[in-house]
Amino acid sequence: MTSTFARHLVYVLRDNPVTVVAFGLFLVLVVLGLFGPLLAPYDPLATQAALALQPPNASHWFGTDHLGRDVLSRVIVAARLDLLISVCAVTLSFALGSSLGAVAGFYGGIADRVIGRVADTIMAFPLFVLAMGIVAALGNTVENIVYATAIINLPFYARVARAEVAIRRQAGFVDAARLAGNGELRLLALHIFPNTLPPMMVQVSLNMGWAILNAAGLSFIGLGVRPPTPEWGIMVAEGATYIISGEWWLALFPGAALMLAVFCFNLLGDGLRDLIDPRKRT
Amino acid sequence: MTMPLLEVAHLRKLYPLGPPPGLAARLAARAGRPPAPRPVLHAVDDVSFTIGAGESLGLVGESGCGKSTLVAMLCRLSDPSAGTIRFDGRAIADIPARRFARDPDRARIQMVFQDPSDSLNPRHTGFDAIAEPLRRLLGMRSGAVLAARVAETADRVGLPQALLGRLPHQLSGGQKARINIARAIAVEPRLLVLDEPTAALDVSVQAVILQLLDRLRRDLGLSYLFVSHDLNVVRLLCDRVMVMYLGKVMELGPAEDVFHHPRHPYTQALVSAIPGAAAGRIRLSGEPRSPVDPDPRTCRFFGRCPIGTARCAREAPPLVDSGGHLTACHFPGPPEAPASVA
Repeated sequence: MTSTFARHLVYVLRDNPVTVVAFGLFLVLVVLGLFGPLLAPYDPLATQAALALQPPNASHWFGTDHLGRDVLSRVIVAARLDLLISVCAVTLSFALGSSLGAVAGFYGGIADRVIGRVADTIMAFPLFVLAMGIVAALGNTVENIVYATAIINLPFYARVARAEVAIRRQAGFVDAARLAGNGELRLLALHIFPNTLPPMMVQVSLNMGWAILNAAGLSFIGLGVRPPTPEWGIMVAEGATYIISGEWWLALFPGAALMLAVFCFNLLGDGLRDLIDPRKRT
Repeated sequence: MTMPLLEVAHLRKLYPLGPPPGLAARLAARAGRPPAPRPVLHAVDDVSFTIGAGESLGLVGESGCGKSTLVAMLCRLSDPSAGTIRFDGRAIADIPARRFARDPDRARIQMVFQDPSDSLNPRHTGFDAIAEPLRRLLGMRSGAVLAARVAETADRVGLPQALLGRLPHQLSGGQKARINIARAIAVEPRLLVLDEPTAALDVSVQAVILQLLDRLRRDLGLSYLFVSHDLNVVRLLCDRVMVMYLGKVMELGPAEDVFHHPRHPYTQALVSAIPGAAAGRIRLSGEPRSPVDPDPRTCRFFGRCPIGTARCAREAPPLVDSGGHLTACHFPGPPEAPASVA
């Protein structure tokens, strides 16, 4: 089983070189997220007033910030927090949104109408403003960023899941599974839902980049993660004030990290779909 | 005569059309003003027939005549609007389709679907597809017993065991058809409903699958309800034939009898359309009548019928039995009709 999966992975990667780049970047992000504190050359929180605002050099590759902290170390350590927030948020909204959407698509009727209207209501708000409001109302913590990001992404999963389930509800294999003794809930959970995963994976991956941007955006405007903590959004916010005076490295490197992460997740979508779609298997 | 395996009486499936009554209409109804009745589509209208143990009944009719609706009700995938279904003496029409999945009779009525690709889960291998009904309906949990049973069933339908691990998209149409048949017969049903099982296959594969089905019926003592467009196939495989038109049974009788001496003008037209038929082709003109709110006093075939008279518009002909050959026509063709088939 493992070997067929490995062979399939190789096949998918060879088929699409862009996917190789995306998987490579993703691997780098995962390593940074897991081992960031060990890989960072300096303590991301240690201030050295004497070394403040040094441009990139041999000992500080990404330079230092206004308190003399190493920007490279801070960028590396921040990966864990940013990934954690986006992974948790996406997992939450995927789990909740796709189950609600699947129920709406399968049963239709009143469930469909209620869930559809709730999703529409959420989407009627400017999403980032809604997230700001949620974090402001619930309190300035990392969990609340996760909840806010999860809530604003919920309608996308609900819609994709609803559409994908609805087109498969009448499929022959569903009736065949009924004849094999599956109740309605088993049909939905074990026969229809797994078949909606390939298109859902594209959504998950796109959403992941979006969630990172969202979390960074909230931190950028001062909601969510608090300053001494290394986080890409805060670092860009802090660095932005120094761009005018010529200290470009403060905002550029965390900004680039953010951009690469979003880029990576956007590219990953197609690869993930190919990986999970049995029809791509040969 | 022994009790038939399947006994269907006055089965109906009606679909109300248009939007359900809104709040305003419901309030008006409560105030004593009943709303205008919604139009009703009569998909299957008062159908009765039996299938004996080991018997094979063919069901023919054009698209939209209610074959698939009838089949879905018999397989308990949808609920009839009225009528009874007795399977092996037990009334099963009143059990909601939703709950039938856990019914003890679920394993004994199985079905082979029209499109072998669409009816296999794209994520399940051939083994999964055949094993699932065994697990769910016969409670086979043990891996070894299950594997042996799946292998035995695959052998029975002529599916090489090496293909059991493959996913549907890695199989040919004929192989998928075999998996579909294997899945249906794995749980040893008494009644197998075949909904145009070869319509989606190449002609060369069709013949092989039909031979397989014929052999399985004799080997396993199954009863078939065989739905088909292909009259020649029905004639070869079936003991009796039922002809449907717009939700009603037009003719029902022994296969050879119906094909050589069709009595209903619709059947006569169908038989004359078989390639190689000796008699001249009877061409039907006009459009079928609407299945929505049909006039119960008019014959469903009136308007297309070459011999229809004013009486057919006033008085719908009942299904009349004449020596085991039932016909719903005021002017049934002579038993010694010249429409013999080559």
